[in-house]
Amino acid sequence: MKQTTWMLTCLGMLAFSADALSLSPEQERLNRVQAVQQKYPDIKFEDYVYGALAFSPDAKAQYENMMAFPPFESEIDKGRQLWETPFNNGKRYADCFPGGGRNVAGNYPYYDETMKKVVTFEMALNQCRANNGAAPYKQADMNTMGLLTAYARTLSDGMLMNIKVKGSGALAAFESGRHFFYQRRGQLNFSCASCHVDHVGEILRTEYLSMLPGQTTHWPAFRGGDYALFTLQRRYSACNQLVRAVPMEIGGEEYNNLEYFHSYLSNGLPLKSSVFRK
Amino acid sequence: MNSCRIAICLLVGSGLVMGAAGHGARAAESGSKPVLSTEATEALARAESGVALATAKKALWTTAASALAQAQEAAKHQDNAAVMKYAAVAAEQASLGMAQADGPLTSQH
Repeated sequence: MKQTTWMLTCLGMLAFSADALSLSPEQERLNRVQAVQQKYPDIKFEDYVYGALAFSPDAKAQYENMMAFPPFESEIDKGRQLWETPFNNGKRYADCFPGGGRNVAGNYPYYDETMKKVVTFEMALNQCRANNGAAPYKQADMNTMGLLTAYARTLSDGMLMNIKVKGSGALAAFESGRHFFYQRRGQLNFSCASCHVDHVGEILRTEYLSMLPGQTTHWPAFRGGDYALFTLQRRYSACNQLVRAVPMEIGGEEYNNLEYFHSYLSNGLPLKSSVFRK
Repeated sequence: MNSCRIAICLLVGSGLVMGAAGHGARAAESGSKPVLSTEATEALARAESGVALATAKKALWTTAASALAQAQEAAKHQDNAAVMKYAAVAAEQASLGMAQADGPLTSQH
C-alpha cells in the first residue's frame, strides 16, 4: 500500500513538473495575446491581423488606400484562372474541398492522424491535383502554387482561424513548431520570438515589429515596391536568411510544424488574404 | 597555282606554330602550377565536414556556407592562403551554429 502511494505521488510530481515546463497550446496563445494587450492596450484584438500596420495610423491609412484598388489584382486573377481551370478529368479544385473551397483555409494546417504529419493548405491543393491526375506544384514556386493560393485563400476571407491541436501526435508537431519559434538561429543569434515577442511594436530597421497573434491570417501577401508574392513559408525562409541562417525547405516538415504552431496562435482572428505588406 | 601553294604553306606553318605554342603553354602550366598544401587540404576537409554536420543538424549559418564556397573556389586556384583563411571561418561558423542549436530557447514563458 505504502509502495503504491509512493509511486502515485512520484507520478503526480512528474506530471506536474512536465506541465510546468510546457504550456498548453491554449495557455501559450492566451499568454501571447495578454502580453500584447498589456503593452498596447489601445490596439483592439481584431486589429492584430494588421500586424505592424496596427502600430502606425499613417501606414494603415496608406494600406487602406492601396487596398481600395490593389495594384496586384491581375496577379490574383491569374490565381483565379488556375483555380477555375478544370483538370483533364473535368473536375476542379472546388470539388476537392467542402463548400467549394469557401471558408476552409482557416482550418489549415491540421494534424493528420493517418499520415502522422501536419497538412498545410498548399499540401491539400497538391493532394487535390494528385487525386485528379495532375503533377504537384512546387510549394516554393510563386508562379504556380503562390498564385493559386493567392486566389484560393481569398475564398476564406472573414473566416476565423480555427486550428486544432488534439492528440499526442498533434501536440508533438505543435511543440516542434514552438521549439523552432523560440530557438535562436543564424549568425545574428535571433529567434522568431526575439523580434515578435520580446520586442513587439518596437522599430527595427525603420519598420515596426508585428505581434505574434494575427501573423498568419493574411498570407500570401504582395510585398514591397514590386509587389513580390510571398507565401507564409517563403516569408519564414526570408526571415531565416535575414538572421543569416540557411533556410529550411519550403513545404518541409520544419516549416510545416512552425506554421501549425504559428497559426494556432492566431486562432479567433479573421483571415484576409492577398494583401499588401511592406 | 602559286597562290594556292602559298596558302597551303601558310596554313601548315600556322598550324605548326600554334601546336608548338600550345604545347609550350601546357608545359609551362603543368610546370609552374602550385599544388594545394597538405595543411590547406586538411583545413578544407575539416570545413566541409563541419558544414555537413551543421547542415544535418539544420543549424547551418549562411556565413559558414558562403565561407566554405569561397574556400572551395580558392582551392580551384590552388591558393593555399585563401583556402586556409576561408576554411577556418567556415569551420568556426559551422561549429557555432551547432552549439547555438543546443542552446536555451528565448522567452518561452
